[in-house]
Amino acid sequence: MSDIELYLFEVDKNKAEAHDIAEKSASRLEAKKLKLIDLITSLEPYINNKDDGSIRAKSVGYLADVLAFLPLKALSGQERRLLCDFILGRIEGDLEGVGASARALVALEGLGKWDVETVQRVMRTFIDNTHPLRQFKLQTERYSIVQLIDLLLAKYREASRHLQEADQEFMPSFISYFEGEKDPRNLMIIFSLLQVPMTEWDVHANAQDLFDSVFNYFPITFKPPPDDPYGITAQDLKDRLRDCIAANSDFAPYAFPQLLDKLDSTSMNTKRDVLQAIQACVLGYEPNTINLYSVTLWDALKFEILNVQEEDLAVESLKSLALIAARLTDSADGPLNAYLRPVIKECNEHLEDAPTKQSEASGRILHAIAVSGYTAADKVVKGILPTLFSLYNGSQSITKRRGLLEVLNEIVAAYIELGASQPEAKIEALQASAGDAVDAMIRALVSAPKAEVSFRLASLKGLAQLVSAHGVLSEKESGRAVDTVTDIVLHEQLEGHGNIRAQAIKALTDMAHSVPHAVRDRSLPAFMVELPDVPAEASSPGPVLEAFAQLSTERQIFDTVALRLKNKYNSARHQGAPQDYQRSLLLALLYTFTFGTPTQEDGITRAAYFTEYAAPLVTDVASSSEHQSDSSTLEIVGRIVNVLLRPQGIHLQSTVYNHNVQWLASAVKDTSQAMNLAPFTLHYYAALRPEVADAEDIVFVLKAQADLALNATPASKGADTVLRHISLLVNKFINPKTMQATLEASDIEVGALLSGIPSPQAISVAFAVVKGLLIQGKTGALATKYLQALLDLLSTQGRGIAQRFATLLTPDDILSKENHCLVSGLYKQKIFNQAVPFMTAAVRTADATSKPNYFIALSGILRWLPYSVIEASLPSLVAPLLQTLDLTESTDQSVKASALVIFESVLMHDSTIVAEHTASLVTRLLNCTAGPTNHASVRAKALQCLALAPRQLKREAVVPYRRQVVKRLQACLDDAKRSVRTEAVKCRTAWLGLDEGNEDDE
Amino acid sequence: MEADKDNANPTIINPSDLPSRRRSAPTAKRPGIFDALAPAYPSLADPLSSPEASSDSASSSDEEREEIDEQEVYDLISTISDPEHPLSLGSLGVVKLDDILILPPTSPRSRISTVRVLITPTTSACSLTTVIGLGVKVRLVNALPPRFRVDVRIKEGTSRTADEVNKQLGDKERVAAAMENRSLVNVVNTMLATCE
Repeated sequence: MSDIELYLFEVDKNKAEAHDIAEKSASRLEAKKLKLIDLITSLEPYINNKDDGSIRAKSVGYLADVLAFLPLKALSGQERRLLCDFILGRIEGDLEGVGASARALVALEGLGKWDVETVQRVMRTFIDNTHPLRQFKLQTERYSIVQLIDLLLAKYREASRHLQEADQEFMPSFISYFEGEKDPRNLMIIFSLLQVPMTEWDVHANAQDLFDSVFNYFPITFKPPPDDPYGITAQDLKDRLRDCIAANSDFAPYAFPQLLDKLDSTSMNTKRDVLQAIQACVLGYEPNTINLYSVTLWDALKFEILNVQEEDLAVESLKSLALIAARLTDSADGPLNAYLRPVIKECNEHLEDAPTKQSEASGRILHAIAVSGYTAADKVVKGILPTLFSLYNGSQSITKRRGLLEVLNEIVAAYIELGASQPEAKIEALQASAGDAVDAMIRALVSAPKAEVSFRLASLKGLAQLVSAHGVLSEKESGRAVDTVTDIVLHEQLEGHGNIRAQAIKALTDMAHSVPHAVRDRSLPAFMVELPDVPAEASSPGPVLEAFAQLSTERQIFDTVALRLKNKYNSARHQGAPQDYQRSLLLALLYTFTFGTPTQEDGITRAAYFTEYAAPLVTDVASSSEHQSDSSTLEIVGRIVNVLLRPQGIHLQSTVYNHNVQWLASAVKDTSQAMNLAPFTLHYYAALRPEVADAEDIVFVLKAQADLALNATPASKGADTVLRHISLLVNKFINPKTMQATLEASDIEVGALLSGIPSPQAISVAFAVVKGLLIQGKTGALATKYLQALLDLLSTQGRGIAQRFATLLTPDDILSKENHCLVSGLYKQKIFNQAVPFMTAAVRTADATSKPNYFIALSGILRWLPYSVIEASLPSLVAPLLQTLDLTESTDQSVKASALVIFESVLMHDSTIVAEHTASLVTRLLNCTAGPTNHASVRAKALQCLALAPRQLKREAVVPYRRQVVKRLQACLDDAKRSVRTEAVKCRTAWLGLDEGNEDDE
Repeated sequence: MEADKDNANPTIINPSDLPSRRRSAPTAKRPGIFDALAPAYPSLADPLSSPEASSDSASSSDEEREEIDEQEVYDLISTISDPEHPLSLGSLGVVKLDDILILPPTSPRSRISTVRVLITPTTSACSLTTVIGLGVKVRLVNALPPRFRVDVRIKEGTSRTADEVNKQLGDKERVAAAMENRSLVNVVNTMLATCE
C-alpha cells in the first residue's frame, strides 16, 4: 500500500500512527527516495475523489502533514512555487480541506520566504474564495486559516498593505471576513492580527466598519470552561480587545459614544471594562482627538465620582480624568483650558454647599487632575482657590469651613506628590494663595472651639501639608505654622474629646522633615522652656517629655533632641531633681535611641553615641554605688547602655568591658548592693558579645547570681532579674562542652537542685538554667535530661511547679539574637516534642490531685507556641484542653485563657478537629462565660470562641444548640464588664444568624 | 437610580465629631508611650505575678459594674447602615447620643428599665423611616438584656408619617409580623450586617 493509502486508513483511528506515516514520507522525500511528483501523483485518485469530500480533505491533510515534517531546503524554490499554485488552485475549485490547505501553506512558508506576489495571491485567494470564515463549522479549520492570515500580516507588512491600497473593495471583505467568529482561541488571534491594519494602514474610509467588527464583542462576557486546556481567560480577551479599540484615533467618533453608552450599564463588570477601555483610548488616541471629546467624557465620568457606586469605579474614573489632563497638557494651552473650564465650574458649584458628598468628591477630582502635572495644577489653583476663599470668608459655619479646607488639602496634597516626582516646580499660583491659607488654618487652630475636632484636624493637616509642599511657604510662614503646632503640643491639656495632641505631634514631626531648621530653632527651645531642671511639685512635664522624645523620629533633628535630653538629665541630676523626673528623662532618652532615627555608620548606630551618652551614665553608676539610685532607674540606664553597646564591634566592647570589670566584680560580691544593681548588670551583660568576656569572670558572676537567687526571700523584688541573668549567662557565655561542670562549680546543677524536697528558690533557679539551655539548643542530652527532671516533678509537687512551665517559653527580650544569645531555630518544637506527648500520656493515668498540674503545665507550654507547631498534634490535645476549661481555682484564670486562645485558633483554621466534641465544647464555653468565677478576659475570650462556632462548624452540628446558647447568652448581655457585653452581642448575633440560613433553605 | 432615593445628598457627620466612649470617659488613664520601653514579663521567680495575672486580678478587684449607659446603646445602633446610602446611621445623624434615654425602673419592685431612642429621618418625607426604626428595634432587642424595654420612636416634628410609624413600632404584634416578611427581614439584615 502507498503511504497515502496507509494514511487514509489510519487517520480517523489513530492520529499518532497517521503522523508517523506522514513523517516517513517526509524523510523519504528528503532523502530523494521519493520524488515530489510521485507523491502528488499518488494523491491524485483521492484528492480528486468526486464522491467523498472527506477523503479529499484528508488527502490535503496528508500533504500538509508531510510538508510540516520537511526540513528547510528539502524542496527547491520551483517545487515550492508549484505546490503553492497547486494548493491555491484547489481552493478556487474545492473548499474541502481548506484548513489543511492553510496548514500546508504555513508549512511551505516555513520552508522559504515568499515574494510579494505570492503573499498577495494567498491572501486574495482566501478572502475571495473562503469568505465568510464562519461557513466552516470546524474550529480547527478556521483556526488554521486565521493563523495563516496572521502570518501574512505579521511577516509581510508591505505586501499586505499594498493589497489594500490597490483595491478599495479589499478592505470591506477583509473586515467582514471574520464576522461571527465566537471561539476564544480564534478571537485571540483575530484581535491581534487586526492590530496591523488598525495601526499601520490608512483605514479612514473603513474606520466605522473596522471598529464595529471588534466592538461587537464588547463587553467580553466569556467564562472559560473548567479545566480549559488552552488557558485563555476573559482578561486575555479583554486586553486584546481593548488594544484594538484604542488602536486608531479614527475610531474615536464611534468608540466614545458607544463606550459612554455602556457606562450606564447596570453591570459593574461592564462599567469596569468601559473605564479600562476609556483609559486605553485616552492614551492611544491623538491629543487633538481627545480634545474633541474631553468635555463629553468629563460629563459622563463625573457621575461615577460624585455618586460613588463602587469605590474602584470611582478610582478608575479619577484616573481617566487625570489621564485626559495629562494628554492635553502636552499640546497648546487651549485644549486643556477647554477641558478644565467645566470641571472647575462644577467643582466650584459643589463647594458652595460644602461639606457634602459632592464637595468631598470635588476634592478628589481636583486632586486627581492637579496631580497629573504642574500645568493642570496651576489652572486648578487659579480656578478654585479664589472661590474657595471667598466662600470660606463669607461663611461663619465651621462645618462648611471644614469642608472647604478639606478640598484645599486635597489640592495641596497633589503638589506634594508632584514635588516628589517632578523636580521642576511651578508653584507661583499656589504661593500667591498660601499666605491666606496659612492665616485661615492658624486662626482655626488657635480660635475655633476645641470641641470642633474635625475642623481643627483639617487645619492641622493643611498646615503640615503646606509646610511639606516644597517651596510654597516663605520662611516666615513656615515659622508661624511651626509655632502654632508647637503651641498645641505644649499647651493644650485637654483630655478626652477635643484632644488633638497626638495628631499635632505627628504634624510637627512631618514638618521637621521639610523644615528641620525651623523646628530646631523655634520648637525645641519652646519645649525646653516647658521642661524644668527641677519640676515644681504640681507640674507634670510627662506629656511634654513624651512629645519631645517623639520628635527624634526625624533624622535631621535627632542629634539636637538627644543632646538636649542629655543636658536636661545632667542638670536635673546635679540639682537633685526627684528620682521620678530623672527616670522620665532617661526613659525619653531610651525612647529616642530605640524608636528614633540616630545616625548610622556602616549600618550600625554610631559608636560615638555610646561614648557620649552611655559611657557617662555607666561612670555615674560605678561611682554612685555607695548612695544607690533606685533599681528602676538603674534598669533604664542598663537599657540605654544595652541599646547603644550591643551593635558595636569587639574592639569597643573589649575596651568597655575591661574598663568596668573591676568595679562590677566588687559590686556583684556585695549581696545587698548586687540585688539592687541587678537590672543594670543584666542589661549590660546582655549587650556584650560572648568573645569579649573572660570565662573566669563569667563563672564568678554566675556563682554570685546563683547565690543571690538561692538565698532570695520570696518578697525580694530583684529576684526575677537575677534569674533572667542566670538564663542569659548559661545561654550566652558558657561553653556548651563544659556546661555540666560549670553548672556544678556554680552550685546550680539541676539534678542537685531538685534532689530531696527542693525549695521554691531552687526550683526557680532550675527553671532559669533549663530555659537558657533549651533556647541555646547546643547541649541536647543535658537539656533533655533536665527538662525530664522538671516534668517528673509534676506528679509529686504542688501547682507552683506546674505554673512555672509557662516561663520556659515566655518571650524574653534579653535572650535574643540582637543580644548575641544563641537562639536555636527549633527550640520551640523541641520543647513541644519532649514535653507535650509526655504530659498528654501522663494525664490519663494521673490521680485527681496531680491532674490539674498537667493541665496547667500543658497550657503554659502551649500558650507561647506558634499554631503551626501544635497543629499536627491537635487531635490528642483537644481532650486535655477541654478539661483545662473545667479548672476553677482563681489562680487558673490565665491557664484557661490560654486554652481558649488555642480553641479560637483551632476553630478558625481546623474546625473539623473539634467537630466531634461540639457538645462538650459548647457547654464548657458557656460555663466559661459565667461571672464572677471567671475573669472578664476569660469570659470575653470564651464568647469570642463561641461566636466562631456557628460560622466554622457544620450547620447541622450547631443548630441543635442554638436555642440553649441564645438563651444563656442573654445573661452575658448583662455582664458587669462592657468589653464582655460587646463580645456577647457579637456572639449572640452570630448564633441568631443561624436561623436565617434555615429559612433560606426552605 | 439616584432619583429613587428620597434624599440623594444627605449631610454627613465627620467620624471624628461623632460621640465616642473616649470622649465621655476623660478620666481613664492613658498608657504613656514610655511604658512599652520596659515591658514586664511573667516572672521566673513567681509565675503568678505575670502581667496578665496581675491585670486580671486588678480587674477582678475592681470587678465593679460598668452600667449600660446611653453611649453603649449609641454604639450598638450607630453602626447600622442606612438602607439607601452606604453610610452608618450615626454619621447621617439619624441616631444621636442626645436622643437616647435610659429610664430607670418605675417602681422599686420592678426590674424593668426602658431605653428610649428617638430617630431623626434624613428628610421629613423619608419613606424608609419605618424600616430604619424596625432595624434599630431589632438590633436593641437582640443586643440588650431582657430587663430593658425597647422604645423606638420618630423624633417629634421630623417626619410627616411619625404617628403612623410610631404606632407600628410600638405594636409588638406588628413588629413580629413584619419580621415574618422575608424581603423585609433581608433589608433589615443587610442594615445590621455592618454592626460590629
